[in-house]
Amino acid sequence: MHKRAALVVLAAAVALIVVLMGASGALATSKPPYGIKPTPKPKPKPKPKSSRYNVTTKVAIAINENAIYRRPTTKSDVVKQLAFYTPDGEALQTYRFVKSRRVGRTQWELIDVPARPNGQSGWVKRSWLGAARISHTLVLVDIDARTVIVYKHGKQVFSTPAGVGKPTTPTPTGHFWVAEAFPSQNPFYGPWAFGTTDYAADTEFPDGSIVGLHGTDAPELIPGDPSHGCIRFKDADILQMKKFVSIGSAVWIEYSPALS
Amino acid sequence: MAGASGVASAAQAHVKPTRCGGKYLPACTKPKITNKPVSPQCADAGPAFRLPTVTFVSNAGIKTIQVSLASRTIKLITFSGQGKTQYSLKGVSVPTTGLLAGGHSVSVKVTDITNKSASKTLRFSICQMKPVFTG
Repeated sequence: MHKRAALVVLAAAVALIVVLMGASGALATSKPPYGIKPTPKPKPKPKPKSSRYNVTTKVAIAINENAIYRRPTTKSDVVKQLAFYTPDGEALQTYRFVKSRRVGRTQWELIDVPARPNGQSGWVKRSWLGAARISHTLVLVDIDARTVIVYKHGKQVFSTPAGVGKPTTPTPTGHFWVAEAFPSQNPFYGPWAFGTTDYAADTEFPDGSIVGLHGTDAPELIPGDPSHGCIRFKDADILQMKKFVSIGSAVWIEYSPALS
Repeated sequence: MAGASGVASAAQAHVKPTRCGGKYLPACTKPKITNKPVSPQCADAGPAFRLPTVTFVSNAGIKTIQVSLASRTIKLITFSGQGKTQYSLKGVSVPTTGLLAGGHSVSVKVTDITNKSASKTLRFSICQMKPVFTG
């Protein structure tokens, strides 16, 4: 009998302790003592949108006409010379930064070199180039779909049908950038033209046969494949593109990029 | 006598710096020129091309700033006395009427009160508006 009473008292005491502990815990969580604010739980950071089309391009003009080297040393082979102006003189020539390397005290930059054949690159000292211009715009040319889509920070901002190169003079594919932007007085090219760093297979045009993005005096051929390599737009569409695209914007020319 | 006149003419040529070059002052260094990036895009043929902001720094003091297009001076600023140690030239208009389409260069030169000078060339292009792309 005594044992039973002792067990009941013990059980009651344990229950009381549990209740008290719970209450103190609740007090601790609801109101911290001495006015100390509880540490807020860190909010999970939103994951950046991983878009293939979120492209950043960094370009700069040349401030002298020194050589572009195959390796980051002035003792290596020369790829080409830096130039102040584009071949047709419609803009200051820009070069695209690829990667940097420090050799001793000198910072070298691997740059893409706009020249025929496409896809050349070489090394220059950083001090030979001006301040960098950064663009987050991508002009994506889908040759199969005869469509051009403009992305800004990876988000689509404009889309339009386009005319691309004929099967005999196809538009060369690759990753280029806009090197020139200017009004056109030749109706064949419409009211506005962008020059890219892509060189066409058809070499019969002056100044190296640069692939341009431009308007047209034959809008009925768009969408289609009427050109010698250039990307043609209806005049209203090239004027719309002017709002989003400038020198330094990336230009990707691909077959069915949605599938890649 | 000849030596004395030589000293006098040298003294007239420049102001004695008070900010640098003394026993307890740092050495007078060559002035420096920095500029905001020039747009690679070509400019219309007229009436003017606006230069980006160009900043001049001199620890001795700036005496003159000169902006020239080819051999023609388009802006000349002269400071009196010890001059300024820093000066920013904003939006200078370069007259482009009559310039041929294609590449051109503007030269900016700064001279300090000790007659040390520095210069820089800024290039721009006048639109030809005649695309020669593959079409």
